[in-house]
Amino acid sequence: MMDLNLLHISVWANFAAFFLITFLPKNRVKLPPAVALLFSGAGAAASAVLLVRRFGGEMLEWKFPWLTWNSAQVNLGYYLDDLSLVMLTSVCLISFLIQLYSVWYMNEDADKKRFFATITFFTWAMISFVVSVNLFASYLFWELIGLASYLLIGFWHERPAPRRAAIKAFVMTRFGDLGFLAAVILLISHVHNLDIPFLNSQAAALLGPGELLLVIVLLFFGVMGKSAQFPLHTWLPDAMEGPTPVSALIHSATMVAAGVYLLVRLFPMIEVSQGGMHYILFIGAFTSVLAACLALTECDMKRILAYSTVSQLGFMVMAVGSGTWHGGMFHLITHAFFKSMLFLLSGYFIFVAHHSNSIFDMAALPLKEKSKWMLVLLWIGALALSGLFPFSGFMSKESIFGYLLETRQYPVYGIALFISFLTAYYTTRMAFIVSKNGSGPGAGDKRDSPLRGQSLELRVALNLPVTVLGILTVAGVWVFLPWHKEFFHIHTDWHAREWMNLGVTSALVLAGIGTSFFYFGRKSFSEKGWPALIPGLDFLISKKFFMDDFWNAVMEKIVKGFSRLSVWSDAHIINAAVNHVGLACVRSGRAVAELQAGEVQRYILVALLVIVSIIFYLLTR
Amino acid sequence: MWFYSIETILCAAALFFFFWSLKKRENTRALESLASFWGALALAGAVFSLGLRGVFFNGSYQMDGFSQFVKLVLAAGFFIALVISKNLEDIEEKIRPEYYLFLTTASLGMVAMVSAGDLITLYTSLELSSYSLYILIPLRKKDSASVEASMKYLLTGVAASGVMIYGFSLLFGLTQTADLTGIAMKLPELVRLHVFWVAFFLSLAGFLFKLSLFPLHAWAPDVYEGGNTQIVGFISTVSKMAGLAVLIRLVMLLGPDQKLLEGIWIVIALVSMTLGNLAALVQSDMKRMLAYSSIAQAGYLLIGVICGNEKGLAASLFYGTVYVFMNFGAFFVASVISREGRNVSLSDFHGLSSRSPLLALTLMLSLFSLAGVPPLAGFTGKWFLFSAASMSGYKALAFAAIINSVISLYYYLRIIKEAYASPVPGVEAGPLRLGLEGRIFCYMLIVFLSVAGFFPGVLMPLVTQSVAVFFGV
Repeated sequence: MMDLNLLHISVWANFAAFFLITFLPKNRVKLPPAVALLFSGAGAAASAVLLVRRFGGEMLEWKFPWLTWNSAQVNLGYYLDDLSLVMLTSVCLISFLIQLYSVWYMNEDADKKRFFATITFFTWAMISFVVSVNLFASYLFWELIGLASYLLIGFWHERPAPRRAAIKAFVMTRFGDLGFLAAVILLISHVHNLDIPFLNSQAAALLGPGELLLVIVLLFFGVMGKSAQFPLHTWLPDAMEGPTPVSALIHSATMVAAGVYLLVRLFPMIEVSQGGMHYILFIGAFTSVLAACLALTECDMKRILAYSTVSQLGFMVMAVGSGTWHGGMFHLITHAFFKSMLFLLSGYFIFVAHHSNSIFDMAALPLKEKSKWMLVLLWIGALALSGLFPFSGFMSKESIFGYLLETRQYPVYGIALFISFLTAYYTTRMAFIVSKNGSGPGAGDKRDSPLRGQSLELRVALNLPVTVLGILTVAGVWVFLPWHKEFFHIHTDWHAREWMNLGVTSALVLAGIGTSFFYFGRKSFSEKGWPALIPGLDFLISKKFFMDDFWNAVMEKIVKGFSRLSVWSDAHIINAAVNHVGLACVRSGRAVAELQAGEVQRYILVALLVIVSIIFYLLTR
Repeated sequence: MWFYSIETILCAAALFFFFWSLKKRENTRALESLASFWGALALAGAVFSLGLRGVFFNGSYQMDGFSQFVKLVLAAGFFIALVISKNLEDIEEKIRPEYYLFLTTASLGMVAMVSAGDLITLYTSLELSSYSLYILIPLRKKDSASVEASMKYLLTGVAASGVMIYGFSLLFGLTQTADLTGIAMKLPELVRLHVFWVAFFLSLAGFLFKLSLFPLHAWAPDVYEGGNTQIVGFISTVSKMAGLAVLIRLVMLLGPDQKLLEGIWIVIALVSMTLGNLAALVQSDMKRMLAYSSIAQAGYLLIGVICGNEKGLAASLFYGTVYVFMNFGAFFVASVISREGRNVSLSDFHGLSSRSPLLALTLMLSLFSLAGVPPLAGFTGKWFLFSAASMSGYKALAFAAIINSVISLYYYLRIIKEAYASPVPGVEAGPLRLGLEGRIFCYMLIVFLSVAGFFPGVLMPLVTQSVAVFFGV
């Protein structure tokens, strides 16, 4: 009972915050952040207590019927097993930390109310998605997540770029969602019960292999949209137009993770279909390599992180497709922590670099004097992302590598190694360049703190979240290791194979870091590194492998062509018909209203005549 | 048991207002608060007597699951009417006690009506409520239109009563009893007689009038336009609900034989819907528009009665219950907006969203609900109605009703457009201030419309239980 109450708190705290903030008076600018922090803090605390009390224990299912069709029933409620518990706690905690950071980041912004209302709304939708017991409800929350993300990416809607990015993100993810919806409809018509435990245990048996494959492909279409998998990945880098906390929360730690989470959630059902698994594996691997290549020469810090997010999501999808949902999930969690930290740091560096996203502008700043701690954290994050011992990313990647080796999936293992090499390379490239410690123009006085004039609360709001995330990145996995190793299937009895694996992966990571040092670590450094030496690659990257052009062409030629046709038929056929029908309605309305001339004797006469004719009808039939 | 029933409370309230009106005290504020108090008391009484069952006075008054549930809805409507009857600018202060008195007696009549067990009780209680309403309409000050409206209301009502009484007398002549159950017992021999069907149909005229159904609908636009907004709101919701309840009770007396009347019902429902919706399209006065809309809504309500099965009746009752709230919402907003109690035209809604966001939201949700936009209660109610109709084999009727609700969307949206999308008016229309009760009412309404729409499982079991009395459960 107490656990259920805790769960209620952690789910509804953010909604309560959203509700309250919406109704706050406009002129109380200090209240929205306070309300948001108070409630989401309570939610995070409740989820942490829940984790301590329940982890490893039995699952909790609480539901009530909501809608009933002929034979299908949709329940609303919670399904809390270890998987959703881990995800719940991570989402609650990260979103609390990011809301805290937003207090600093959004300090100057006039419309805090809207920001905090939307971000708490988003958090609520995400949490509800995570613990939802029913796939139909999951779909609803999935859409709400998409809506919240649209609102947040386009938060600065006065400028055209965020507006465009928001529309792009919304349209592309919605495009994917169509697949999800189709899968839901298919499941409801064939399985009649969309409860996730039921789907996992029964659906595969109730569906034929062909239908199951179709369901998986359709579901994965939704995942492609939300988790930015090829070919629907192009919205995510553009989504960096939103405020940086939004990028950290939505586009690294939570929303984009929803797709991978969905795969893991339904893994027992998906696993049955060999074809489906191969499909997932292939798309994940391809996305991961493609996005890693795109990150190689990028100069915009947030875009580097965005591409690396796409790449890492692909990596997780690949892991799930290869059969290790534990590895995929483990990497999802560790990645969420260090990637959100990296994003928060990028927000800081961008602020210091006078709102420039370019890493070369940051290189020109004397950051070593001004923000030593932030640089240290940046390196921690970068090394974790590269997967170097002893940071958290190492553990989770190692678990995936170990599984691939154990099940002898050597080609996938090779691809994973390659991705790992690229990741180490581009991540440390960013870190090397940012920590160049130049003294370029606009650097100002060296002793001048970039946070001059900001109050203590603001400094805390900036420093606390990144520090907590940094500590978790370094120490988190090791402290909690005895506790979660069973859940994530982490081996602790190591044999020759494990040691060899460790050697190979570490060597590749170090090779990546070394290459990066060779090009960017020394006094004179190049801008693009080795990709510039390979003919054609640089060009392809600068064109983003023509994916944007591809979608533009699709939009221009096919969609717009179709919409032109629709416009024409709308104007000439439908509109004309509608207009005439509408006019006819209004005309007959006038005629009817004119019958109502206001003479009561006529009213009564008509009434009596009608009654008399009814009497005749009754008497003569 | 009886002393806390809603009937007792309404009697006491009527007496209270009667004596207050004799004293001619000028303390209007106290009267308003006391009125709200009586309303709350009546509502509480209805809640507590929800489980009350029994047959009184030799069967002429009966309380069953159906009547008690309907009384709850009526009490809620009565309570709302009293709560929103603050600052009645168009009714002179010295006659305010009478205003409350007749509102109470009207409610008393309706409450008695749904429990009536024989024709005499039915007739007297119907007239108690009707005559109270005839008096309430012309209370509006310095307004000859309201007197005219009242006359029209009275004359049409009297005509309907005459037809009904004629039907009653025929029924009595055929059966030698005024008792409803007695009539039902003699049905097997009666259904073969043509005259019985004539008598039965004529007996329903009074309730067609209450529901403003074709052909007894014509009074509605004029009365709505002429009457005070709160009273008109009351007439269009509570009075309709009572009429619907009695109609259901009478029709269900027939049992399976009621199918013989379905042709007439279908015509009445279709004409009411279409006529109401079409005429509403071209109105510019808010109350007149709502009058036509309420004619159309009564047509929807009839669909469930036509189905005649448990599903259909439950759908009708569900929609009727929801309708009381959503229509009151629209009338409430109109009453707040009206300046010095004058009638509200569409242009008065200009810039409502900036003058009072809460009021604009209430208006929007009420109207969307009336139009049947998901996920509001009105949508769910319509969904139940139309699906009951198509499941009972009235697919064409359901289709016509759906077309009608599309037409209705147009005029509801026009008001919403005025409230949200029109330019903000000048200084003369400053922000609207709502009292505490007003705000609470708005919030409650918003919550009700969304909860009842989103979780019909909360209200539906109550409704299903209450119509179960007609199916021998």
